[in-house]
Amino acid sequence: MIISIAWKNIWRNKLRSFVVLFAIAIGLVAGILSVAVMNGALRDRIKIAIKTEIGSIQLHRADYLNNAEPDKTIDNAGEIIKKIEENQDVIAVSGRLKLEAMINGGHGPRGAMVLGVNPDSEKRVSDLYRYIPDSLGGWFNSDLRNPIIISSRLADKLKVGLNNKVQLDFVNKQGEAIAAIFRVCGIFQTNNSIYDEMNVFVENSILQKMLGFDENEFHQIVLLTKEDADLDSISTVLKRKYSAFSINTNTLQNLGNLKVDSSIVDYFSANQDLVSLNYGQMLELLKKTPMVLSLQTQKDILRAFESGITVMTWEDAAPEMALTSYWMDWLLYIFVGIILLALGFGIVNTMLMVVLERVKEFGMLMAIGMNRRRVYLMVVLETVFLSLAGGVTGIVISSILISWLSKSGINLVSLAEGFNSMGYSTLIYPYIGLEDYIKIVIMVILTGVVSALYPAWKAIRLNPADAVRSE
Amino acid sequence: MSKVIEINKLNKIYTETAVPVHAVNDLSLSFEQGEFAAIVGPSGCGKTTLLNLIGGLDKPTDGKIWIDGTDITTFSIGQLTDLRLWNIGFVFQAYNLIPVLTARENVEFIMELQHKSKAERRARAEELLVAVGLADRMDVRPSRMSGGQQQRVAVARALASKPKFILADEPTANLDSSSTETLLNIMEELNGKEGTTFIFSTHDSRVMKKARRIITLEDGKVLTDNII
Ligand SMILES: Nc1ncnc2c1ncn2[C@@H]1O[C@H](COP(=O)(O)OP(=O)(O)OP(=O)(O)O)[C@@H](O)[C@H]1O
Ligand SMILES: [Mg+2]
Repeated sequence: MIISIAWKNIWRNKLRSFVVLFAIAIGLVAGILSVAVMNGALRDRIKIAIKTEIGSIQLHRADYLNNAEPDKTIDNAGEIIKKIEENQDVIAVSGRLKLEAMINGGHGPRGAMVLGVNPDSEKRVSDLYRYIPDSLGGWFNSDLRNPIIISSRLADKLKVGLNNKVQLDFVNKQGEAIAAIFRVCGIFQTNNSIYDEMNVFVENSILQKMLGFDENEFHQIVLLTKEDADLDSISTVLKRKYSAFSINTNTLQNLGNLKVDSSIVDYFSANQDLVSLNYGQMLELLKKTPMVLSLQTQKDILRAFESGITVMTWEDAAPEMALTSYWMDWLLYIFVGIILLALGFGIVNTMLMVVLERVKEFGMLMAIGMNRRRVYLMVVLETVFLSLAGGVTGIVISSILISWLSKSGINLVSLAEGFNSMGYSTLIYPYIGLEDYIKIVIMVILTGVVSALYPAWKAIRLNPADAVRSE
Repeated sequence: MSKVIEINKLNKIYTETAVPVHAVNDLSLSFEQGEFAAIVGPSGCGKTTLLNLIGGLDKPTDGKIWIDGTDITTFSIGQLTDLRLWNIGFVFQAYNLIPVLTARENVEFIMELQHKSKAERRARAEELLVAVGLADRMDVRPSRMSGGQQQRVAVARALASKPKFILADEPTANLDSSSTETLLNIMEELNGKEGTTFIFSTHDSRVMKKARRIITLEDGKVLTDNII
């Protein structure tokens, strides 16, 4: 009955309650919308980054990430690609050669990352081809010799245009310096200027011949999964199969001449979590292993590890983006928290007024035998209900606004300059998840409880004799 | 008959005022089961103060009060609250009821505090509301009842918890004469039927006439104590 009394009490002074209710609602709408806009921008950024730059999951030879040398290619890459393609959740897989190079258009060299791609399979994992305007060539569809695709930003820096020559200086598989002339067949521009200035694309088959790689030799395998796929479980499966660790245990067992004690193999096999270790972590582990290993054994094991594969989801590959996404959760707490804090003072004030107005009633309730705990609970419930009524109103309004805005998008043209350089799109589709709403509801309830503490304390401090007597 | 309330050398001095007020002065008194007693006297003689002390709403400066043989002057706030819930019914001059609840809910509320079952609460609330003549007003909120009707609900509520006695501080002060008459008749009838002790303060001579015992206070002391 206390619950129903508390609820009904809110509506005794309708005007006052509605004022508080709308204050909370408006505050929350402002907070939720701000967070949703930032959230939307970030999600968009991540989606685009996955589709053009990173892919969902990347595979490299374990030691390539420590030191990107040309000879550190993935063993059996062709077979691995075929296997991965069988996965229902994988949309496409593509192998890339990935080499550091100097690029020069005749006005001084710049560093660049040369991505050797198969134009067909690359088109399926990456949207990059969509970022080449019709007027600026296309995705390897000209019959130029040694075609190369660079970004418009890089083209400006190099002072080259479509069909112009650029020279690439890189190192072949054997470690010898090679120079070659390419012709610009396409110029792309994404929203991420840093990415644009760094990366250039050439055809795989040409690089293979030029630098002595085999047909199925790649530095990187990129795969794109369906949007709702569970990346963690896919990457775990891949790690189990191909990670440095699993290849290593097999290798250890198979290498008869490698006099490795079976207890070492057991030690590594026993712990399934080891499959997710990358090369660097594996090195650390080896240093700490309880078994005494000879220097030679350590080297042998490491060599086995090196030929294994590191599996990275986009979160591993672009940790700064994953971190931003993580901070987004905190942003919600901070934004909505500050708004609720401010509103909380208003709620405290309102509830103090309520208690003051009802001194006689509280006196009567205590006189007839309502104990302090119940009186306290009643004031707290009343405050929580009032806050929740405002909170729910705010959430309903926000979700209607967001669902409407997420269809049309919000255009931030005036802010576009700064946004663009960080790879953010200028059209933003606000987004907020169901779990965020749940968090907000919990925060609103907490605000109610905290705001009630002082007014409720005031109520139970009343002396029933004085309270009943008061006018 | 057994003593429900026994008061010995009770003192209450209000010290928060500029000049300390000796509102109850060395007062000794006792009440027996089933009494229907009026406390009368001029304004400021200490009627409300005495009732508040008996009801455990306030603590005496000095002296003892036994309720059913238990000294309540040493009780903690929590114990006093329980004492009031289980042993004492209250009827005040006004603001007796919870405004957002109907008559029935107001009467049931106190039994809910006592954790009585839903069925028992229903039955007793209806029985009492019929007894105070409000059978047709059970589901009406206090704001839509007359002052007399509200006081009758308060009497029903006070009886609902099956208390040892009921304290009513000027229950008729805000009522017209016919409502006063009705309320007093109802109180008298319930006193007879349920055997509950009623102690009420009043200024009204017509109310005094209904009492079977009249205690007159003056300056916090008993001036006269007559059983009629
Ligand atoms: N909380 C208080 N603080 C100080 N003095 C008080 C307080 N309550 C009552 N008094 C004083 O104590 C005395 C007794 O007051 P009390 O209210 O008990 O009288 P009463 O007989 O009920 O009067 P009335 O007929 O006007 O209701 C009065 O002088 C009053 O001013
Ligand atoms: Mg009085």
